[in-house]
Amino acid sequence: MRGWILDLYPGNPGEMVVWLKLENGEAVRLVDRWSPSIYIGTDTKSDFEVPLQALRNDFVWTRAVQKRERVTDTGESEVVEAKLKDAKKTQQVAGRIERLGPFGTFRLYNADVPPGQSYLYEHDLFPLARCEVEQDGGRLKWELKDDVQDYDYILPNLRKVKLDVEVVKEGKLAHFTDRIDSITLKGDDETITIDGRSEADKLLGLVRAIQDADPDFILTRDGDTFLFPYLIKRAEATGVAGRLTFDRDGTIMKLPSKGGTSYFSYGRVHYKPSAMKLYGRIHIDTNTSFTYFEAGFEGLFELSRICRMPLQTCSRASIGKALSSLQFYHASKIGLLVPWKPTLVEHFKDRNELLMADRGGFIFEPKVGVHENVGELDYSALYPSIMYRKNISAETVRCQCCPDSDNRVPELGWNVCKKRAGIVPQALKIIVEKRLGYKKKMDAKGADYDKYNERQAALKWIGVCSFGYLGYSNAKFGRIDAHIAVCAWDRKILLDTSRIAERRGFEVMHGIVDSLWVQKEGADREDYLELKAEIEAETGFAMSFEGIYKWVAFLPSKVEPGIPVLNRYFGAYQSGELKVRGIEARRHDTPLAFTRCQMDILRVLAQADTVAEAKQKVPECIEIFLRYAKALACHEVPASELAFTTNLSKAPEEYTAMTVQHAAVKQLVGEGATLHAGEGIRYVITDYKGKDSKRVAPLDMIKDETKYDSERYIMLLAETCSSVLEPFDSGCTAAGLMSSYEASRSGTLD
Amino acid sequence: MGRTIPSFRIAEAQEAVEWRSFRKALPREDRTLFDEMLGSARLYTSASSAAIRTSKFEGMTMAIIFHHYRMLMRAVGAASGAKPREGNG
Repeated sequence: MRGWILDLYPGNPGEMVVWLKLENGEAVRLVDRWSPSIYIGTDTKSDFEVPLQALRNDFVWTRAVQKRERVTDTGESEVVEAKLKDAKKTQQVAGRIERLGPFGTFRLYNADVPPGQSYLYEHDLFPLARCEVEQDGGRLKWELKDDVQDYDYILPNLRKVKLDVEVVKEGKLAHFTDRIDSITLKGDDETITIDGRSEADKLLGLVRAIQDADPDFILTRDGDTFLFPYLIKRAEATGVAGRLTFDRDGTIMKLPSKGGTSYFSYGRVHYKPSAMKLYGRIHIDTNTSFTYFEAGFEGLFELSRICRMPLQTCSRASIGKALSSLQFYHASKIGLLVPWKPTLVEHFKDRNELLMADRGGFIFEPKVGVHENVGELDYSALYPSIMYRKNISAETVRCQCCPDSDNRVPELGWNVCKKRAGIVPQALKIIVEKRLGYKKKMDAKGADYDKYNERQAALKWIGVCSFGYLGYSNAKFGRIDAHIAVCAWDRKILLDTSRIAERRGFEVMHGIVDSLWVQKEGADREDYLELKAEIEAETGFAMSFEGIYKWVAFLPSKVEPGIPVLNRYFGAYQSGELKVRGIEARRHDTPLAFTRCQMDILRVLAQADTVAEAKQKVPECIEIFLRYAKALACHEVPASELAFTTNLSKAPEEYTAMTVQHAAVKQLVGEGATLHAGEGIRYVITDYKGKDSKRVAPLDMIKDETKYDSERYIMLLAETCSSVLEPFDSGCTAAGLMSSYEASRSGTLD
Repeated sequence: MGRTIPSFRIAEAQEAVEWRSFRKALPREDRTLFDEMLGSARLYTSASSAAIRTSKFEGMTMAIIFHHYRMLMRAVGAASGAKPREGNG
């Protein structure tokens, strides 16, 4: 049998179910007699007897094997491999073993590697891999006809449908008690609307429609948080819950036993809902899938293949989880175990060493103001390249085996292993090389440009995340010393780069970690390309020349004028293309109408070839502001385009002061919504100066007659416009723009 | 894991807070000048961070002295008719 691996998951105890998509379009369910192993390490051999006796009924068999227990180990040691009877009980069994003695008595490994991933690692397979498979008794014999390194791999024709449900709302928000109005299933060729007589008819009609269409992918918006839980609740209410199945396995849909989780990351609280997974089909919630949002289907396919994660898991996984899976695969290939609870600590440092070591990448403060003829040079995937090329990994930095290594961390002098490639560089090799390969293919600007672009975008995110993961406390193979080493290399590279530029007569205008803005009077493209070539030759790292700006504005702090702020700039390249970073138009919480207004102004400014010309364009830009302001005053801008977006920083009951966020939360909760810390809400300001929760209206509760606070919105719009106009005209502060608005309004009235 | 030592940018802000009482004792017009002086240290944050001093005050002080020297040289250059050397500030 020949086909592509579509989905896999543990079935009955001792079984792995694999769905194969055949060349004729059919999907076939295969069962392999297989279950995962966990590994147990102890300091004293006799201790092994305790768990092996206590949990003997949970194991198929146990045996002593030689494995690398810790990532820092240079040799193997004896551990016990325990083959589990039930893959779904892996962590439960591990927990019971751990509790048999004081913490540390039993060291447990591979206990939280998802079984589907373990199966793929063990058989050297990956999702959407083209394979030949034979059934041999209860076992499957796989022959891989694909290569994860390939760029132009063949994929099957995958059927995709979008599922949407219209709700008859009894209140302002949709509730699980509300009836179903209609259900639509939209495929590539046709849209099916299911609007039977009763709700039960509609639900059973949906079950039949999905069976008939037999899609491989079902796409929903909020399928994890609302749509599927809602359908389950309606099926329960109408007595058809026992017939509600949407997958190929015939599994009856059930609400997840666990709720979602709130977590804190990079200064923000996030919320991850429980997954509503299907079996044999892939459910993608487009509202919660980061990979799908950032890199589309092709990015998801690429990430799933490279990181060897089932498609449905990969669509919901954070990039860190995907990167971990890639590392686990490489660990499995070299006999390195994955610690359940990593205990690797950082090397001791005295005060002076810590001061020197614990710093980030290098930054040159921007020269505040608008500048002409500035060129931008960016290093390509600098941090992953440093890790890969300099062999930076938890076990290689300050290793015991190479104290005299000539690979040393700049400034700190730490030795880096010369004898073996680290687990992190091994995992990153394919990411760095394949992304470069896809980018080269994109240069041809052929028919597959978008496909390659989505795939490289997914790989880019792995690269971005890989550096942070080195210093993440829950990373299985992370250690802060490796994280520090990458920063030290970055500082050296950026400083060396600036010296090369200065040597060639360029002035450094700004530099952030892996990007440099330089200026030289009369320099043209050739001069910049020569500079790039010299930098690459001296540093050994690849750069891209982004272009020459006709003008670029590096912005000051809004609170302290004159003080530069990092990563807040905008400019127009000689091609006319705009680059915008850190200002309102780039922020995800800015109302759509404000983004549109600011970008309209920037497009007018981008027509100017010089700063002097841009200054002459300011009156035209002020007119744009006035046009938008007047539309706000007349309530011509739809409220939906004025919604602010924010993530809840705490649970609803923890809010005290009546901030606009709290006002929105209070109304939503009052309407029966269940909110968690980290969940996003959208609201429109209706009475900013008001004292109660009516200061705002949540977007989901807005009606046609809802009036927004136009006065407040015009003030905020003036602030947004001043961000891009003030650098060209000091009179264009928010107050200055408001004066122009007042003057124009009184002029209109006259 | 994560960082043990705050970045110099954060440390500078903390230092400014620690001089709040000094600032409070100044007349209104001098308070603005004081803020500007402390703010000038922020023009050289990366250099102060690279200096690796155990006291963040040392890095800030060197930055302020250097900024004053640069402003002075610029003023001298302007007074003597020479082209001022460009830079931040």
